[in-house]
Amino acid sequence: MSTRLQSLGRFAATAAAVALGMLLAAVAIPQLTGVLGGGPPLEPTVSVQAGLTPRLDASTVQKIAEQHLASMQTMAAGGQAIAVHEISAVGGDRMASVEPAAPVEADASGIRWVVRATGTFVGQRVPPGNPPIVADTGYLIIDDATGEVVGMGMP
Amino acid sequence: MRSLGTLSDLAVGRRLGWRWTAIVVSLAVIALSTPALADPPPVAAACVKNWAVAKYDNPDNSDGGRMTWRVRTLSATDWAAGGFAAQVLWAGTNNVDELARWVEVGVTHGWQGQNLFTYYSAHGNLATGEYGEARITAVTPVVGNTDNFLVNLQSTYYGLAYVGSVDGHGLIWTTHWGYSKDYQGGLEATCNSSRVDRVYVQSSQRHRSAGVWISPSSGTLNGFTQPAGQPVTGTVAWCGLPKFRYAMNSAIDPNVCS
Repeated sequence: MSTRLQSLGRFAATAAAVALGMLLAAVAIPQLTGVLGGGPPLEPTVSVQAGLTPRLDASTVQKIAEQHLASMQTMAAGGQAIAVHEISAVGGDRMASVEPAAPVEADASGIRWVVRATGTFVGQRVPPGNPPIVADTGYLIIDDATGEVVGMGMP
Repeated sequence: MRSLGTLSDLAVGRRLGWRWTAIVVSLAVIALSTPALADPPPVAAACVKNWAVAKYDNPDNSDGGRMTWRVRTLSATDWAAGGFAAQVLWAGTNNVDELARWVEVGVTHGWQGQNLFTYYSAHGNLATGEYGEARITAVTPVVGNTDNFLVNLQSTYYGLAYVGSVDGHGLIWTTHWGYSKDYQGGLEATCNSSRVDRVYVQSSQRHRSAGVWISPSSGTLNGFTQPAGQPVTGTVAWCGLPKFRYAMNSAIDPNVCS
């Protein structure tokens, strides 16, 4: 009986150790990859144009961006990992100062958050006969007043 | 026949060794507790993308195009999967032919997976993969209204994409300039089951650089579909060139020039 109990105990202890080790590895490996591999910083850099007082805070903007990136990833069946790198609040007429290819709003009156990220970016609005343009880096534009994603671009 | 035994007497452990059994059991537990990856995303696999457009080559240096049409009912069946149905004006930029670099402006149902009816503009460069799209939020489209859509290149500076007039609402894309070698208009829909009620383009003009607006005397009509052999549901026809009409699964008569 005692032998059986000892075997059962060793069995349970080993199973627990293996499971714990794998869980730790699952958490630690992505962190180490980011640090040792020269990957992107874990926290995005945040900037706000002088003189602006946004309604949203950067963490809220980051969540909105991550949700939209997840949605784009699902829609495109993409596999690129999602990460937000830079978050900038600017006037709608100053977006190109953050992202050179971003649009300038001709009648801008509000604050826009420009978010640079990695993810699955797909541009489907292409001239007739051409396939979609796909990239794993890009930017999102989020309206500070409504929290809506109102623009995107790549690479 | 040998009995497989039961877990109560650790028969499996006796045959494989208790360490290996523990590893196998723990792996099985982790595998079963991991979120399933097998759920397929909502891709619109049954959809076929359609275009139906009138295209005009610009025989001399032009800096853009404009069209006037009535906003019609648009209904994208695949908006939740990122699809759309749109009335669009495209203009080539940067002296590049066949719209390899372009700025577009239009009205769309379906935008970035959202159930929206909105004005928008987009731009791109097929050679480099540069691309952008953004809503024009300062004004809201109204079905039945007649709108002017304009893409105009401003010398060496930028491309304007406007709804309304030059003083209208829109976006400026700062990586587009030079001449526009062609422009076109029509419908674009990511699913052939979507609806674009008949649109009559009552005016189509290009702008000669530092000159006047000109109504082209020639053009081509193109209906596209992918892949080959799939049905073309978008249609386009002249209404006395350069005027034209287009439609897709229209709920109103698609063969009327008005």
